[in-house]
Amino acid sequence: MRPVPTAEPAAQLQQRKRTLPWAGRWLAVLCAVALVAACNETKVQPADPAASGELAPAQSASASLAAAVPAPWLIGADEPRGNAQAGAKLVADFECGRCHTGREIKPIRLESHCISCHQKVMRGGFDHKPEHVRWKENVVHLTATPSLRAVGRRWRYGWLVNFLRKPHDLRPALVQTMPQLALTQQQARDIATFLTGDFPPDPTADAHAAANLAKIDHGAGHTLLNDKGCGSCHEMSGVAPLKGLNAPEPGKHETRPAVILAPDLRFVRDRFRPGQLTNWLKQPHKLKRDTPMPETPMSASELDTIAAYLLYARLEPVKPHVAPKPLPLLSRRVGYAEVAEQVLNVTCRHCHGNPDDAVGDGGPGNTGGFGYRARGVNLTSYKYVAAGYLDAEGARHSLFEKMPDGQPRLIAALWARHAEVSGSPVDGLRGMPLGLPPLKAKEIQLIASWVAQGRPR
Amino acid sequence: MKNRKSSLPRPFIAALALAAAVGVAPKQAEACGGGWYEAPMIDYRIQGVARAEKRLEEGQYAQAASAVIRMIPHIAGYKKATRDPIINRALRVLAVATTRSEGSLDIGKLISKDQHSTWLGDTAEDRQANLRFSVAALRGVKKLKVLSDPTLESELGEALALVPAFSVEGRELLHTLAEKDLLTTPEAYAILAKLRGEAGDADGRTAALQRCRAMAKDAKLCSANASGTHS
Ligand code: HEC
Ligand code: HEC
Ligand code: HEC
Ligand code: HEC
Repeated sequence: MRPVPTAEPAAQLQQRKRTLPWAGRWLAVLCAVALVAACNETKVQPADPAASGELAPAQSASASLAAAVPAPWLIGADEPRGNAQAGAKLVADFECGRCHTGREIKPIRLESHCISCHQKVMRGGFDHKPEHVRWKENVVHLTATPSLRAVGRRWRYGWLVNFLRKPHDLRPALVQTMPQLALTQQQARDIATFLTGDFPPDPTADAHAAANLAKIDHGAGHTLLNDKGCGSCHEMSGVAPLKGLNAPEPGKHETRPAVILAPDLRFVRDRFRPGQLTNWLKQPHKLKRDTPMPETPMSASELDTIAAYLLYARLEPVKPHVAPKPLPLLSRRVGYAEVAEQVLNVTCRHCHGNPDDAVGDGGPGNTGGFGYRARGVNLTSYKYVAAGYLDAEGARHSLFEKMPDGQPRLIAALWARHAEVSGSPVDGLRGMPLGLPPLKAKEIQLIASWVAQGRPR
Repeated sequence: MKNRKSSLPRPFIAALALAAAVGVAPKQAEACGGGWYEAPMIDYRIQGVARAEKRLEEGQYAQAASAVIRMIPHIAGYKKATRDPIINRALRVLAVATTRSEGSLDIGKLISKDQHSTWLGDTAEDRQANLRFSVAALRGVKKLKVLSDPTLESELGEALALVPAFSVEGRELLHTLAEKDLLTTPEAYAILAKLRGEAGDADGRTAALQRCRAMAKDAKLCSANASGTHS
């Protein structure tokens, strides 16, 4: 989530916090790896943290507690499998195809495909009309998403179930995140079972592979990542910054798909199947035909060193996102035009549209989509903003209705996005804008001031 | 996300609208008694209605109404909402423009004589006929909405309030919406203020006027309607 400056560096660090405990704790279980391989089981025995030479003093405090936690690639290993057929239907119902492609995902028409259409804008596909040319500058989000091919070949089933339930930011140069969808645990299992259908999960083989890699000295790992140019696309938070030619510049709007789509390598240990890791590094296209990750010539020992480094390098904790402090209400007059120009027309109206303008489709936040039922929120004009939202029973309420803490609901939804990104979603209120960076304190201040002034035109 | 100006280009909307246009074109040709063209044609009404909606939003009632009547001369014949969403939007524009002109549209010079019908509202009967058309049209459009739409209900409330037979229903509707803070137009608040004033509810009238002034581009709209000089 890099391209948006100021408030964003914090947002970058988003829900990494959530994976942090895994990563941190996992250090404590390093020494248990051999044990895992030996007992060939799904649960790791408590290990003695003192035995791990890699533990930093700060981390050792929680280490004894953490020792009871399985190695990352075993988290969720006992997650029951779901029903692939049900999963296939859910993938259609939740419209994963509006943002993702994949062998298992049915293509969706251009009029509704958020990514394909934005890509067309970026390619100049609408430039025949002069007033459309500037669209290119405006489309920032959803210009690329990872394709969901070869899912089972790459990731662990247990990780996938958790991610679908609680998505977090994976890619530093990709501004938007996977939106939090209204999926139950069982639905997440069904979808994950369907998506991993290409290659059966094998936690035992993964544990063996991890145990083998644990024996490898990964001391040269960081240098190798730099030498091989991995840092041109990837970041690995928690270790010294990687160097790379043409690496994305902080604060600059990155548009190269291969760079946008390169995950933070911090998460490899959480999600990648250890048994597949060296195969991936050797020939990514063999695992996933459409991957933008290039093949890098490497010797067998370099491969092993890098793989071991990715799994075992010590990771510093990452600072969690901290919501900015609310700013005091503005004393100057704020009219609707300013609110619309600064926020509603820029971001919100694309999901909270007017169905009259698009043969009945008011977007996911109005007439429904991404598995969300219709909530009837139309943010395209003054009168529609005044027209409220639909509650679970289908009754209308004002968007300015006060929440228990006295905040208007609309404003609360904007802060709820900050809370989500900090890893503590608000019960019963989805953070807005959905899956996009939280608004800056100044932007929220503007809307809050407008509401407090009686919502002048 | 800052400093990106966005003035309503409706990207996929345009694409969808195009699809819709192709869909309705043959029907349109039929309705106009044409039907010479085999190939689907672009539906000019989509842009036309969008423009009329904009005029309405800007308070140019005569321009909005006359654009609709010129474009779809037989529109009053629909009486009720149809399956064609474009006709329904046009009906809505005409109905609201009519209400806000209190039944007499100042469009004598904007449409041809043979299209005048009752629209100019020269007599009290004509004005009532026009307002009743508004009520029927808005009720029809409301029935076809999949989701409840307070903007439409507010407009219906405005229309009902001006027809004596429905004015009680109108007041109830406007009042209920206002209680929920879902009255979406200053015009509706102005009428509610007037109705409350007539019913002796001074505080309610003041509250409605206050909302009207906050919402109106031009606060004159509030004092004019609310004083009860029209109707
Ligand atoms: C609004 C667009 C959107 C929708 C709808 C959506 N996703 Fe995503 N998804 C994303 C984005 C953006 C990412 C990349 C997030 C990141 O890298 O931080 C992503 C990432 C993922 C990932 C991780 C992929 C990887 O390569 O790291 C999986 C798995 C996934 N989505 C599954 C799904 C499924 C299953 C659905 C439907 C139930 C779905 N998504 C619906 C936007 C979407
Ligand atoms: C040109 C940009 C680019 C370069 C250079 C690059 N990668 Fe990648 N890498 C990617 C992209 C994009 C993906 C995501 C693949 C996908 O979703 O298909 C990826 C995925 C990965 C993954 C899987 C991550 C996960 O969580 O699923 C690993 C591991 C990885 N790369 C390691 C490396 C290493 C090691 C190097 C250097 C030898 C390297 N990459 C060089 C772009 C790059
Ligand atoms: C990517 C699509 C998307 C974007 C962008 C988006 N929304 Fe939403 N919005 C949704 C969806 C989907 C829902 C329904 C969520 C639910 O039912 O939990 C929703 C619901 C809401 C709600 C009702 C929440 C509630 O629980 O009552 C509000 C208020 C809202 N959005 C405001 C905004 C604002 C303000 C913005 C711009 C800053 C915005 N949204 C941007 C998709 C979006
Ligand atoms: C048919 C093409 C098309 C489709 C489909 C489409 N968009 Fe867009 N989108 C655009 C264009 C064009 C713009 C730029 C508009 C402008 O300049 O004001 C845009 C801008 C945006 C923006 C604001 C700019 C930014 O990058 O933040 C958001 C958010 C957005 N779209 C979200 C979505 C979502 C979510 C979907 C899928 C539900 C979607 N769009 C589907 C064409 C499309």
